[in-house]
Amino acid sequence: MKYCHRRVFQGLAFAVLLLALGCSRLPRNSKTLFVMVPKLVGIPYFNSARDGASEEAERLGLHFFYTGPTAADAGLQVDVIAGLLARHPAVLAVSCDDANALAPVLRRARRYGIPVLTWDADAQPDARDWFVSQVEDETLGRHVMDVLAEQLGGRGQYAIVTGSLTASNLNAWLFWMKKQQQEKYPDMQLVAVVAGNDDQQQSFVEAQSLLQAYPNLRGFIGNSSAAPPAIARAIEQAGLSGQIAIAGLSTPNLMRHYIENKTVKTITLWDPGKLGRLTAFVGAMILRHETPRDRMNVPGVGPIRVFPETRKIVMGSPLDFTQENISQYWF
Amino acid sequence: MTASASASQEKFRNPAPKFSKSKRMMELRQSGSLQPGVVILLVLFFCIYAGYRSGDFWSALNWQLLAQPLAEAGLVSLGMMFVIATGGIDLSVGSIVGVAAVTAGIAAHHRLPVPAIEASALTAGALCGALNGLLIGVLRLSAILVTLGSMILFSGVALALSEGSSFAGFPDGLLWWNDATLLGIPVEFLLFLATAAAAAVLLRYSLWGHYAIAIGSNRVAASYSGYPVALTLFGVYTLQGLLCGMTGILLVARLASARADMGQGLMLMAIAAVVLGGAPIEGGSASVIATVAGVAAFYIVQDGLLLLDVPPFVQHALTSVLLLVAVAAGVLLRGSRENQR
Amino acid sequence: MPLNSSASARLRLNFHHHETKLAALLLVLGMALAATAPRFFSTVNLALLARSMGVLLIVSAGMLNVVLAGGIDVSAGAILAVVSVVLVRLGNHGLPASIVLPVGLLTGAGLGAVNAALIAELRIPPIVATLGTAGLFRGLLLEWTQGEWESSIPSWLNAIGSPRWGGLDVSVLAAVLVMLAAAWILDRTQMGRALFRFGDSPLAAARTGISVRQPVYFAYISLGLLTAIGAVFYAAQLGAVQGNAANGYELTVIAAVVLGGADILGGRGSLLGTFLGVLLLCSLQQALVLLHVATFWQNIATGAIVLIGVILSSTPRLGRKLILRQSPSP
Repeated sequence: MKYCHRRVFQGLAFAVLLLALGCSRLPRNSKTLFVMVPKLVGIPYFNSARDGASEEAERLGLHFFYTGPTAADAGLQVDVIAGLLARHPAVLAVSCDDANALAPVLRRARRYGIPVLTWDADAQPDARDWFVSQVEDETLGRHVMDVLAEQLGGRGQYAIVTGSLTASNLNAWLFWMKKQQQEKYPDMQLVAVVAGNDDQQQSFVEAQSLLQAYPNLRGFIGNSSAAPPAIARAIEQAGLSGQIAIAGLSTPNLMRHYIENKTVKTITLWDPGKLGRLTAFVGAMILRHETPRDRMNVPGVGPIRVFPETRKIVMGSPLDFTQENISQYWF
Repeated sequence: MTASASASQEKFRNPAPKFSKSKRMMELRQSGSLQPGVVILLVLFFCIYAGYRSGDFWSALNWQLLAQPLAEAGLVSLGMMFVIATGGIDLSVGSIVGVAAVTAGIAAHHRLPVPAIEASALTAGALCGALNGLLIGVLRLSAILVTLGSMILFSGVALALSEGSSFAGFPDGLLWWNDATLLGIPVEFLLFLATAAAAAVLLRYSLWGHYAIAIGSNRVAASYSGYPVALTLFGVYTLQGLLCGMTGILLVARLASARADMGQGLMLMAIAAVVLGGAPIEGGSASVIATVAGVAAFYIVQDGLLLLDVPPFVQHALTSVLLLVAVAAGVLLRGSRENQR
Repeated sequence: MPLNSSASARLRLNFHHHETKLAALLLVLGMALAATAPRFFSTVNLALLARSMGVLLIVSAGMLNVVLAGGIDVSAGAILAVVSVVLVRLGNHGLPASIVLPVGLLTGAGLGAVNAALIAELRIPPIVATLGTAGLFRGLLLEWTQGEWESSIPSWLNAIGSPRWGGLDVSVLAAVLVMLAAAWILDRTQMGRALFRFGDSPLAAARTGISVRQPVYFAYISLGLLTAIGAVFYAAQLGAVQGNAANGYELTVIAAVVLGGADILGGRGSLLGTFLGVLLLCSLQQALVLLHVATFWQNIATGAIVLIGVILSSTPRLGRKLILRQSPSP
């Protein structure tokens, strides 16, 4: 009995010692603290945005802090932001998992006098000061459909593998993809929309099953960065490379292999690093009480579009990665 | 069936089960007082440390913001405490919260008054819980298996009801739960404290609480003593469903929206909180204070780590280590006597 | 209730019953499919089904050991992710397969041993211990990778994952070998029998001279090892690995094992049942897409089937009296 007690208290003492080793007071830097929250931490897309933003923030003399939930869950993200409010950051930039769910906590932040930016994915307009958008939902959705239709010659069956059925920005892109197809490509037919839940294995299995279920399937759209590589893998393994077209959104690093071996012709995205840069740049402007101007040139990003009435900043048009240009990108 | 989980575990630890009843109660009482003590001690150390390193830790705002998610997880944990006390487990709580939230969303979409929205969410939660209770209590199926199945089933129901979309446009009366404070304390948290007090009364002074504990310690004995085993279990799981319904309403109010995948993280949190508080997973013991301490410990530590600039994944790993250390300490403290076989 | 031959004979009979029921359920599903989606039975689709079962079957065989010993392991998904990342990272650094594969398998076995030690030495209940280690393993993994995905795999791993032999790949062969080996161990070796008896009643097992630690170590280390083998094929089939891979995979594995009639309290279960459970889950997943069921309804169907399986597996005990189901003293 005594022995066991002793072991427990030895353990405790050891833990206290460990804590004491890391004892230095953190500086309170709330005047220049730029906090960036992604939908979830630990995926390449957001890492790339983080790197761009931290570089730009340091250049502009801001203290950069990046944290977020470990899973794409609006509730978890709200909890993280609530925890961050206690630090009273100078600017808060959030990529919203859900436009509605994030709105109350962001409104609260604004009530406390914290300027709020949304980037990558928007919240309700009254919950933020500015939305830094990579590209308009409509432009992107229509563009991805155009890429697929061009490869299919505007006819045939296609299926969509999306991330999760509940993500609002994915659903917005999905909406415009379908709309573009209905308006411009009546000979194409959408046979199924399935969810891969941002998991490669699940996307892979779903794509395999779709290939079996619809023998006349001619094209796929992967509507989340985990989906296109999984679809490409399924097509490659079914020995159908080149016969089935793939379009969608993913990063060059994930798709490099499939683009180089010609399973995939074109994949679409934007440069998340630039998006991070732009977000930090806008954050610094807000701190200096400046307003972004239309067509102003942002260093490292280029000219941007600003829509003051909707308080929206658009970085540019979507970027297509093909065999010619993929070697220039690394993210 | 669930009870024999505790029975076999008990056999594993106790060489002479026949005489173990009173001895076991003693041990549990002992463990029940010691492990929450260890946890509270650890968290106190942590608070001092975090307060020293980060100036924001002791701000009123921090604790206000911390109290709300804590209250939601706390409600589910209270239900889980009863479930675990009977020797069961409920893996479906996250999905039930999703069903309740989506039901509230549909009700709000049809412009029902606020009490009707709340009632529909509570009913949906209770119905889901009742299905679990029926299968586990009346059909005597294993709790972990039933709730594994119903976890998938309910998440499907929530998805199908909402078709994956997110509901918004809730009336202000419902959002009141998020905004209102009393003396600076969020109403959500007060609701949680009130529920915890009610749960403590139920557990200690009601016959039903007594039955629940008895079933967890020894289901066979409970049934021989003429206790209404099936009815009690049915009640426990229905109560859990009801509490999930309440959590659903609070989540909807705080997020001003409803989605099928809400509350997915709550299941592991609730189980971990109850176990962190020192309740044996085999059942037969429960303490409201320990459960509240368990869930508070998780949220305080998580929040503190966030303020200390600890990377998210390390936060994740550290809270897991906290769980393992606390439970191992609890087992060591209580296990020391019986080890001498 | 004495634990003697008559008891085990009765248990055998139960297995038999349960597997017959599962087979009947599969037959009904199969006939329904034959009527509505004959494409399901095309050779290509069946080969695909076999490939999709491989990894799940290998990991489930390990989980069966754990469940037989009266435990549970919710860290299997995290172990799978850790081993996949270790394999692919080392492979991409140019190390040969002859080094990478043993390191991967050792990692899996080591993580399993951590679980076993927490459970056998510190006496933490299995579900709590593995809940903790699941968070720990995954947290450390993601901190290590910093969320970078391994977007390509070494060519030898790619070769393992490529289909050959008419659409089948090495994972199918490996699954068959694992099942045969597991059947031999469970049926013919002392350790296998010890596992059954330990799971049925640890105390009784201890009285007959079986160590209270050995079966626990065996169960969790074998699960870790088999998960590592599964991870090889998991990574090979996908051609890429993400740090949050296989999130929630453990629940699928547990569902397959219990659907196969294994008693979550230990001591009862069979490989044949586990095989049927895996077959049911995988064919259901494929059939729902083939039948063009909307994604929203797929979870409902899967959940309902699991519940039906649970109810089926328990019916023989419904009629019996409590005293027979639960024997408080050995």
